[in-house]
Amino acid sequence: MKNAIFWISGVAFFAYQSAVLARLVAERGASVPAENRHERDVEMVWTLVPAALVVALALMLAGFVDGDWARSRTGGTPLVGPREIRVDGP
Amino acid sequence: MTGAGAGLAEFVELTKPRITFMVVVTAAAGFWLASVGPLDTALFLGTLAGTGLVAAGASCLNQLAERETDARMDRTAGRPLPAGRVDALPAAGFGGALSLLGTLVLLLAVNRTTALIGLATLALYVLVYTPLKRRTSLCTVVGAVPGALPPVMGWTGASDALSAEAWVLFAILFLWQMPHFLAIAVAWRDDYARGGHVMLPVVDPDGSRTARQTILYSAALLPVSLLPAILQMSGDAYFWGALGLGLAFVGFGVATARDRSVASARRMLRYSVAYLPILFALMAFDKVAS
Repeated sequence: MKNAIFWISGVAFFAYQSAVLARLVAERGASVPAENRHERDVEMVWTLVPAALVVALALMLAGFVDGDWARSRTGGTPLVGPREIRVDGP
Repeated sequence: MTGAGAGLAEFVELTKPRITFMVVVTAAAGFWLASVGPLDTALFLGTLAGTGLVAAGASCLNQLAERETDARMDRTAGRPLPAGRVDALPAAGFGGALSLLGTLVLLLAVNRTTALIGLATLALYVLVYTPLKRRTSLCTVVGAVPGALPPVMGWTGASDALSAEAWVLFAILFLWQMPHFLAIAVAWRDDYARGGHVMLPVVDPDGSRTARQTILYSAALLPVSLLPAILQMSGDAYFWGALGLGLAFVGFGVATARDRSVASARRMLRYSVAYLPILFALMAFDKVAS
């Protein structure tokens, strides 16, 4: 239940963000004064920042980044670089 | 009354006490969440003192850099520097001393990681964000980085590790600041224009870009604010509380975006001010023991 709510809210955010981006891209095609073009490009950055932050967090939480938290999840085994695999038993 | 003759109240005002208090509260929450076992009181107090001193020093140096533009704005003209109640030199000495003292406390009483984050916070706020306010509306995005670092300092104060949970706290505070500061900028749009600050509402006369970004960051805040429960840093009470608070935040954002009036911006501002301490208090009280 909690996971479903979390994912729904995440999808809602990305859907809204995509709509804003689509609108800004459509504005690029229209002929607008230079001042408005600058503000449109600045808004593009404003719009991309939260998505970049959310994606960075998702990568960290998925364990793609070799951080302390990721290491603690894997019992100290590095997530990137060479790993030692030990096989016990006959 | 100027310079060395200025009273204690003037110097306290230079530190933006309410913002510094909020910084200390979020750092305390970060420390508490990262603590394993009984709270290390000395480390806790050292982290809060160092973080608070760095924040106070940064606020003082920011007011020093902006004293001329502050004098042109109704909202800030009464501050000690533009009002002439404190001279620039003692303010610079005071701000520098607080920043140095805070960094030393973090370095000697806490750890090097937290001291470095403190220095980065100071540099970003004073040397990057403050001058950028006169150049581009993206200053708000840049300024939100040092604004979001105090809970990270609390986290590293307790654990000396920049783990994913610390960045979740960072993201919550980063995203919260946008609707909050956009609401402030809408409410005092003319004032910011007089001061020469290039805030988004100042360069967006019809308010459409501000409206879109208010909804966007409020919508991003909702799932990110649920992450502490998803990651089992906090429990169910936090999850449902954060969900309710976040939905209301989005609601206020949508209402502000549709209405685009000063009155609705002020409602958004009041709600955002209440939202943050309640969210962090919920997170701290419903902490899952590690």
